[in-house]
Amino acid sequence: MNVDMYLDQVITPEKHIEIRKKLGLKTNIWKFSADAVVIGSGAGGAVAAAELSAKGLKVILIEEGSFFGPDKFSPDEYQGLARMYRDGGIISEEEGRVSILQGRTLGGSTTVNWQASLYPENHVTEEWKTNFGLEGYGKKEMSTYIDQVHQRIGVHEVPVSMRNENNNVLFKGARAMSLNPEVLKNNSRGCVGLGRCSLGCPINAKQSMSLTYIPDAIANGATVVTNMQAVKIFDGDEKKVLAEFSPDRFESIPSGIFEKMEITARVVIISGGAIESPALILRSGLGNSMVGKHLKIHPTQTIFAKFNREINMFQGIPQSVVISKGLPANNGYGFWMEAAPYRLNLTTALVPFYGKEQFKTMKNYRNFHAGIVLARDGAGSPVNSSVEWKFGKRKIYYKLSDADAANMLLGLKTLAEVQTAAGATELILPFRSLTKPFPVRKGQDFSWILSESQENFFAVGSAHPQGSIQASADLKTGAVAPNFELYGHKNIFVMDASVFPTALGVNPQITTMAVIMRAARTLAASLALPVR
Amino acid sequence: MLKKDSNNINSTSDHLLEHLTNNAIDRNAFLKLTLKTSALVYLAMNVTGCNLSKKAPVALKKLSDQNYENITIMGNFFIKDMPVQNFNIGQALDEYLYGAKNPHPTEKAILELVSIPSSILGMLYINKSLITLTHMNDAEKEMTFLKWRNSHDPLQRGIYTLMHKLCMSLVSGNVDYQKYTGISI
Repeated sequence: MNVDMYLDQVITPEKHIEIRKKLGLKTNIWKFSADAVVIGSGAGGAVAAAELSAKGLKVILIEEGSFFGPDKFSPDEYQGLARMYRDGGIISEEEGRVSILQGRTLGGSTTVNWQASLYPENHVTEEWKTNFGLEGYGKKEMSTYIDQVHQRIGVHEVPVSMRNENNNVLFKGARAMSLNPEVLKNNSRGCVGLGRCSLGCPINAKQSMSLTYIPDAIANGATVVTNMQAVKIFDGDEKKVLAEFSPDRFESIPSGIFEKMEITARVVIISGGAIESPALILRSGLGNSMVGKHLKIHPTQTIFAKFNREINMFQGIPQSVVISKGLPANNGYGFWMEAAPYRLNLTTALVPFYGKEQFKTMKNYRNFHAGIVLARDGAGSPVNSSVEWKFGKRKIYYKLSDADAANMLLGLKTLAEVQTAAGATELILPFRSLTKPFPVRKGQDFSWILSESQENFFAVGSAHPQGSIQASADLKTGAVAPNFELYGHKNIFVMDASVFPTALGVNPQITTMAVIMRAARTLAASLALPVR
Repeated sequence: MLKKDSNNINSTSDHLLEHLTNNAIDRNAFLKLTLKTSALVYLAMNVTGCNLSKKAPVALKKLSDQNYENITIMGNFFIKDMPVQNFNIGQALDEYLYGAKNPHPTEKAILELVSIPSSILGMLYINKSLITLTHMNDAEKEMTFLKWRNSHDPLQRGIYTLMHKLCMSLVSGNVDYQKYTGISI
């Protein structure tokens, strides 16, 4: 497939004037009619658009962020965070407890993620079946969809020869502790380990949505428009979506742009991710009281470990090792560990010191290994969290439950042991009471970590927001039905990571693509629209 | 009589207020009165010029002099003794917010955070005090930041973390800092 040929058809702001001329439009409002409008181009929206258009439906996909080709992916993290991430890279919980990273560009987070490609264990999908009436999501039952996704986006095990030192440290430490480190799968073709994944792959090796399902949708006849933010959805026999122009910060706004779009369609697919999708539904006055509730995030904590040699965690393939022994086989509520390829900005923000000690510590940046602990949140009771729309603003609330915090502490203790077993000399633990790096030696006892309180966590991060519009067969426990249709609103669907009724316990991109592929394929078949 | 909740009976301030007003007043009314009074004090200080910020010593694109002073106060704590010469955190914030062709998506939220050091209402809400950071001496400012860092109050901890993140993020865009850490982009 000639990807470039299709990507040339993406409607970016500089093409608006040409379209206005072609359509003879005098106003700056573009009225568009389609069978289906898809809002958001990430792992859910891109797959949904490709599936619906493959069945001959007239589809329009709108994306709030900009489209960057490989020539425009800058190695400048400062600029990359500002232009390719939602809220400039700082989505903050209302009380500052949590910061969330989420892509805001064509392809959504798949353009800037670290490529980990996993599907949840069966205990997760059994829970969906038992507690929420969602059937058929086990690994075996979903294998057709998972295999198709894997094939399309080039999922494969990262070869040992390509494992960087940051991941080697984790692998060696975990093996020394008999924790059974596993090789991670990534989605790439022709990767040479430039380490630029979080800022967009400059050689088109990472097979993000913008190189796979979005070109597929265009090849099927879909219209893809960037820099258009959906501001409101109106329900009715025919739905209407209002969208407004959303400029890139660093590009001049071309003359003659469409400032607004009014899209009418029989079907609306909301795929803005677990933060923006509920915000859009709530500000549109749609949905039941479950919309926005039970946001899950896979809360994440980092320990930086200093070694007596350069690690250069930002170089090479970001993630190639996973340790999942902390996820109990009976229910999966626990923790898992991965390496993190933090670049300078995120590292500087995550080192919890200040003044002289902060800078003395950062002098050793090239010698840092970064390990992360991710908790499968929801242990014990549902997490106390939500996305709300109040006074014209999106608000995020999230607080770790005591059980999740206990899992996080156990994970931090285990990670500290792994890093020490691998030869670390100092640890930078994520506790606000510590004012400098913590000297360590092999065999050190870290049991004291278990008695820390979550008040002492410096900053909890997340790159996996999910589940804020959870699906359930019972409308008392779900915002969307098992086919992901919004309760009370025929033909308005949510198709992204928002629909998961429990946290996945794995990095979410593959699950999102496979689950949405199944739902969109079923929807396309049921719409019974004439095939053009 | 003053309406009291079960957790807070016989409080001295309640009795004082009762004495002053000679009327029963409920807790909500008391809070509203406090907020309104604070707002009036804030307005009066601005009108009379008592709260005038210092003129920023550098040319700025759009950042106000007050917010320049505020971010400098934050920087004097978080990035004190930074081993890089000629880094001006006020200019860095100005450039971060206003240096691009189009507005920053979270300009308003960042300015809300940056306004806290000079905001009477903000400090009342966060620090339970009418004294702003701009009116404290250096030792008091440092003690306030350290109190927030180790506080049991999630809001104080959260504000500390966000201020830390903003300051460190601004520093990381500096080329000399990048070189200091062994990185060159």
